Amino acid sequence: MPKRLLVVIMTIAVVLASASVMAAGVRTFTFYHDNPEWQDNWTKIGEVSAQEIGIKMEPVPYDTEVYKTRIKTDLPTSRAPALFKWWFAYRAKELVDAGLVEDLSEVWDAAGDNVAAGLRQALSFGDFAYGAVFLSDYWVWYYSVPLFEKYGLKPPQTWDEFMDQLAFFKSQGISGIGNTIGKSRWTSFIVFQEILYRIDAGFYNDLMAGRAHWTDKTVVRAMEIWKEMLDKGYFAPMDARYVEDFPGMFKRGELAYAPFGDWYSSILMGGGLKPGKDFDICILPAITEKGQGAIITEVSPLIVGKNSPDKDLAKEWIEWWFSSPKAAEARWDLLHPVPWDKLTPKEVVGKSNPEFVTIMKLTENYPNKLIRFWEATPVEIVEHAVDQFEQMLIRPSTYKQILDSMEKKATEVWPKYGVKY
Amino acid sequence: MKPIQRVSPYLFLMPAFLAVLFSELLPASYTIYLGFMSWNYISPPSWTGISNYVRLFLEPQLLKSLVNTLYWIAGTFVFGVALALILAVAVNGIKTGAFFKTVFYLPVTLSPAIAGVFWYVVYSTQPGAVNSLLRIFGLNQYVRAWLMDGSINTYLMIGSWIWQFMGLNLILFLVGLQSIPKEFIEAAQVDGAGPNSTFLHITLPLLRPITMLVIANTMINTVRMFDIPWIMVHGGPARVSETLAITMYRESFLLFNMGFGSAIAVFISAITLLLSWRYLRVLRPEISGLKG
Repeated sequence: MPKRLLVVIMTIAVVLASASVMAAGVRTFTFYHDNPEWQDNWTKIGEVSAQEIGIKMEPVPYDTEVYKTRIKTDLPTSRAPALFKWWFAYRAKELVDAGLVEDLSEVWDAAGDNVAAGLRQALSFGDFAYGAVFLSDYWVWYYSVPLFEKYGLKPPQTWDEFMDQLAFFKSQGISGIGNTIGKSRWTSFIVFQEILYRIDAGFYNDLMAGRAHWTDKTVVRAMEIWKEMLDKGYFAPMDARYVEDFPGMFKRGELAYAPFGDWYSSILMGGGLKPGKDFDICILPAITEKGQGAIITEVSPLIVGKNSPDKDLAKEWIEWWFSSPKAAEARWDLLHPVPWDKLTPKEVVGKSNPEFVTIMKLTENYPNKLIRFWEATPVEIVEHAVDQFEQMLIRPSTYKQILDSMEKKATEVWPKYGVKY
Repeated sequence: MKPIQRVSPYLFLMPAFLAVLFSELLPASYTIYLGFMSWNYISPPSWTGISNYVRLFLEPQLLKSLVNTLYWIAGTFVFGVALALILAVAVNGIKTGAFFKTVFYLPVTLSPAIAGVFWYVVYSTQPGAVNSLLRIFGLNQYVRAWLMDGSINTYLMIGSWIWQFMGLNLILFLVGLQSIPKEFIEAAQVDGAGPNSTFLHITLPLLRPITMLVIANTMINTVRMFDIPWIMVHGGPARVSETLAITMYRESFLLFNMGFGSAIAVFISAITLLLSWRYLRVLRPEISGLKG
């Protein structure tokens, strides 16, 4: 008995000693994000990296309402997060211009061709790579499968066919498009974006870059199409919420379409809907030839805070995030993003979520990747636009005043960015 | 007097003074200072003089927010105070008074955030209690997204506030009513005064101090109105129902114009201080009168 007890005590001592040695060898850093729903998954990913490379990423979740403020107040100080999730393009530019983020060019160099082509460019200003990839999404149109099956419909092949479908849904008392302002003002830009680039993708880029004006005839045409759709009552009630209400409306056949990034799949699935059975995705046809082959993309970057004492750890960790098969496996198992690397086996993706295979196939026919409106143009213009577009959704007849107001704002903002407007 | 006796009163005052200094005086001073700066959090604050304060008078949205705040003050004054007084008189002294007091006071115990969510659901289209009732009664033509109608949503939200906080005013009025000496009422009745005359000429004047207190309390709380309109519609749609407090929050924490947000905060504080000062002046003789 004493011998057994001795063995047990010794075993415990050895386990504790090795654990403490291991713990002593593991270096940690913090990662700020605004997706509390993914906190457990991020924690697990941190544990995977701790086991493989001895660097533990410790996630800290924040509510989106306070997230931007927290990041912006901490970044200039030594409390700066080592790693944080952010938005790309103009939303990241102010941080880059203020010299608050690390250049990740070396990390990208080390990643080689593990990451899909074009993403480095999307997360760079000139030679300065300010971010690593977290998510890379395409903007598609979700539709209610039960509804389409009930009426024997298929996703439209032409814009006119789309309009006919919306008119049909209206006649049946069904909401055609789920694009509302409920409690999320940011969503008000979506339909404008979706119409404008389908009229002329090149013009969309020009408007976003300050080379075209908000009062130009292409924008007016987009607004008139939008106005007509609103006047005809093709939209869901404006107080419906896209997280809480749309999934149920889809399932009950009360809502036909909703335009979102492909991240919306996880929200629908979180609402108990099954891909292929309750919802599916399509890409709407262009309105004119100039809109063909274009699709909106959204990239969520992971950024390293320059003033963080742990910034080198975070960079080492990103190298692992980009190159380790175990990182890719954990990423897929836990977060289910549309794969953006060569390490995630496509057959695994197809088995687990056929939606993503559909998205990847569909997007092959859309080589012209455009940046989402939210990030494509200066923040001041976007923030003004989403308020103006809210007004459009409730008072479509004011669209000319809205465009005048946008033009005034753009005239005021662009010179600050060195653009002669 | 020993030195320790001389300093001991100050030592006793110190905890309260430090609490006020660090939680109120310093943040308030810093806010006033920020009102003269331009600061987006990521670049150091830079001096802009009085431009943020000048902008207060030039920004059309601020005028809209001020008007909405005045609607809130008027609405809560007329209904939140007057209705509470009428109900207090109605339930005072009746057998089932305790039941009604509990019913009216219960919503006060909820947090405004929960009350906001509750009323959001009532007015929502998904499916929403109001719209469901309209459908039951065959009034489908009136079904709508109530809170998305900028011409009425402020009134609906004021209604939500009254539902929640009228109970508090009612209890205060009941305390006032119960402190009125019965002899005054009885003497009036002996002199032939009817119920209306007794209420107008005896009860109401004697309730004046408590009425002033209720009005002051309601007004000061309403000037800072944020939670219910934020929870229910985020000041929308298209900013039509923003109050001054929501505009301040938006500028400071969503648009990162901390300087302008601070100037709005100072403006709100100035209004609140003005109202408090005015009412304290009015209240002082009333309270002194009661004591005398």
